[in-house]
Amino acid sequence: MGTELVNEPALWELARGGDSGAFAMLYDRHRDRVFGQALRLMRSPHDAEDVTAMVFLELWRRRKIVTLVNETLIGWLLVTTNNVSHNFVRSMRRYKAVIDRIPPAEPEGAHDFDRVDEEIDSAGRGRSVGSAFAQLSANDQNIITLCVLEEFSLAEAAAALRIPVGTVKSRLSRAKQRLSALTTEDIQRTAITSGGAK
Amino acid sequence: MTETPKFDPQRSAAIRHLLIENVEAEPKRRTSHLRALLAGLIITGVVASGSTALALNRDSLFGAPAPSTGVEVSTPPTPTASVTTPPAQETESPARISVATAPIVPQDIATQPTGPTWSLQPPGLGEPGKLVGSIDISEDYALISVAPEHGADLTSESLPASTSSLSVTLVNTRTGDQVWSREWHWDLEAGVSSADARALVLGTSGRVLVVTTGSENGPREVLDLSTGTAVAAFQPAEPGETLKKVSVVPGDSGDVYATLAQRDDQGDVLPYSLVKRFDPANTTDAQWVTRIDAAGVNVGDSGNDIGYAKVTYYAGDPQQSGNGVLDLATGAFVARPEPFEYYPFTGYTIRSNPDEAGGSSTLTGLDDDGNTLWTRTETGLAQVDEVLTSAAIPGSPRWSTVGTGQFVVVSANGVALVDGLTGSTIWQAALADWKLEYPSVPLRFEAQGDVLTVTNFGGSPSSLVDLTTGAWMGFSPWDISYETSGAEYAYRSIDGQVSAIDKISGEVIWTTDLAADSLFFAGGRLVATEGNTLRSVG
Repeated sequence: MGTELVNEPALWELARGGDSGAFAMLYDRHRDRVFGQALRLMRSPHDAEDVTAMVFLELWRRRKIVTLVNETLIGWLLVTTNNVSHNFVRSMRRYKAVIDRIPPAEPEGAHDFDRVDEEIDSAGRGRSVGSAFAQLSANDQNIITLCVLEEFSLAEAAAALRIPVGTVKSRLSRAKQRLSALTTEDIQRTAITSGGAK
Repeated sequence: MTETPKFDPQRSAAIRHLLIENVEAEPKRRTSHLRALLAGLIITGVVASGSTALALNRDSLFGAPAPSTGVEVSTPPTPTASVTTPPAQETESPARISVATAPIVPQDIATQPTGPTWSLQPPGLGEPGKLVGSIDISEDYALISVAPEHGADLTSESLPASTSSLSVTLVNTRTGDQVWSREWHWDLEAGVSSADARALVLGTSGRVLVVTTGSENGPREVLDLSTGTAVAAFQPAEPGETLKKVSVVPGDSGDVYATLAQRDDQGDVLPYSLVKRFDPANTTDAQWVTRIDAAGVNVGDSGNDIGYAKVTYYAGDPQQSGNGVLDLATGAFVARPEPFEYYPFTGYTIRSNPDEAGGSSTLTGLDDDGNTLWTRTETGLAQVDEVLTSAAIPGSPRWSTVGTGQFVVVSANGVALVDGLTGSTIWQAALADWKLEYPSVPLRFEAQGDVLTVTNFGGSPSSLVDLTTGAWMGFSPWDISYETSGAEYAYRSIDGQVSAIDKISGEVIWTTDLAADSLFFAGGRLVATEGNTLRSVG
C-alpha cells in the first residue's frame, strides 16, 4: 500500500506511449536502485552505469510487453538488470552505438576495483556474499534480488518472474543454499590465501 | 564506514539525455502537442457513462466522491466481424465441462507411487522461452497453457525470436486424456521480442478467451471450454485504439472489461483512454464505455466476485495522478483522492486507507455488493494478509488458493488474527513473540488444522503458530522448500527424485525416482513436467 504521489502505472502508460519526459521521470525514479543492483554484479561502477543505461534502453525496446507488478516497474527493472549484467558483452554489442555516446569514464585501475569492492561490502563477509551473489545463476540472482534484497512478497515475486508461488519458494530456498555454500567457500578460500600457510 | 559508489552525475545526465532522444527518435510519436494538451489539463476526477446514480448509492464501497472536473464521453463501438477459426483437435467426446463453483482440494499422494500412469506432450512444452501454466477448471480437469515467457530472449544465447507461439490444452489430469488442444504461431512485429499471450477463463460462462497484448499479430479468440472450438474472434480495438489490458468480470456473464489507449490519425497518444465492458464474442455491443481523461490509465483486476476494480491514472504531472474505483456493473467511475488498496479475500474484500502521515491505517471490510461489514483502525501502516488453505480457486491460475475467512494484520501494535466477516479480533500476539519486526518482511500464512504456518520471505526461518491461540510454537523443523503444496504434504523435486513431505513436521513421507522440471497440482492431481512431457506423479 503506497502513499506516493506519483502514479507509476499511469506514468508508464504515458512513457511507453512515447512521452519522453515521462520516460525520463521513470529513469529518475528508479536509476539508483537499478545502479545499486548492477553494482552487486559488476566490478566497476562505470560498468554498473553502463548496465543502468542498457536496462532503461531495454525498458524502451521491450515497452510493449513490460508488465508492472504491484503497480511498479522495479521488479522488471531489477530482473533485467541481472540479465543485462549476465550478458554484459552481448548487451554492449546491441547498444554500442548508444553507449559510445556516453562520456567516457574516468580511468580506473586495479586500485579502483579494490575500492569498489570495499565500498560495496565493507565487511569481509559482506564482500564474500557479494562475490558469491555474482556467481549465482541469473535465476538464482533474480529470486534473491526480489525476495531477499528487495523484500518482494511471495505473490509479487511470482508475478514479476511469471512463475508459480510454489516455484518461487523452492527456488528461493535453493538459491539461499547455493548462496550460503558459495559464501562459505569464498570465506574459506580467502582465509587460506590471506593467512593460511605459515 | 566506507561510502557507497555514486552514479557519476555527468554520465547520468548524458544517459538521461540519450534516453529522451531514444524515445523521441521513434517514428509515429510527436509528443509536443500532447504535452501542451496535458499542461492545460486538470485531472481531479473522471465521470463515466452508465448509471452513476446506482454507483453513488454504494457509498460504502466508493466512499465520498472527489470533486470532478472531467468530461463525460461515451463512444459506441463500431461493428466488427466475427471470425471463425479451424476446429480444435478433439481426442475425447465433447461432454460439457464447466468451471466448478467449489474450491478444488489437492489430492495428496499418501504412499510411494509406482510411477506415472499417463503422459502427454502439450505443444511447445519444453521449448526455450516458454512457460507452462495451469488453470484449474474442476476436479480432474485443468487447462494447460504453454505461453511465451517475458524476457526469454535476454537470458537465451540465441537472437531474439521473430516468431512466437501459444498452446492451450484441456486435460483430464486423472486419466491423462487430452480433451482438446489448440496451438497458435505468429510472426512478431519488428521491435517486438515477445508477446504476452494467455488464456483467461471467462468466469463460469463455459468459455475461454485467448488474448495477446504487446503484439497485434497474436491470437485473439473466444473458445468453447468443452471443445476448444472458436466461438468468435475477439476484436476489441477500433481503428486508433490499442488494447492494453483485458480483465475478466467474475461470475457467469462471460464478459470482460478492456482498457484501450487512444491515438489520433498521426499516431499521437491522446490524453484519454476508454474502458469498455463487453461480451468478448460480441464487442460491437458494449454494455458500457467509460472515458477516463488521463493519458495513462491502469484498471486493476477485480478479484473475487466483487463488482468493482481499482483504477490508477496519470495525466503527465505527478500532481495530477490519482486513484479511483470503477463499478463493473455500470461503468461508473468515482475518483478517490486518498491512497487506498483493495485486498480481495475469500468471501469479503478489505479496503485499506493509510493516513497521509502513515501514522494509522483504516481497514474496511466489504461484502460483494460493496456494503460495509466493519471498520478497524490500526496503528501505523498495516500489513494485511489472508490466511490461506491449499484448495485452489476454479478458473484461476494455479497458485490462487482459497482463504479460511480470516486474515492477519501486522501493525505497530503486533500481530492480530481477524475474522473477515465481522472484523473482530480473534487473538493478538506481540511481534517479539513471533520473532518479527515492524515493518514486517513479506509473510505468507497458511492454515492446516490448528497450525498456522508463517512463511518468512525475509531470510528468517518460517514459524509455526497455534491457530487457536496465536501462541508461537517455534521455528519450522524444516526449511519449507517445495515446488507445490497439497492438503497435508508438500512435494519437491531434487536430483531426479520427487518427495512428499509432511508440511508441519517436515517428515519425508516417500521419495520416488522421477525427473521433473516442475511439479504442480492441476485439477487437484499432482503432475510433473520434464522436457516436452507432462505426466502424472503416481
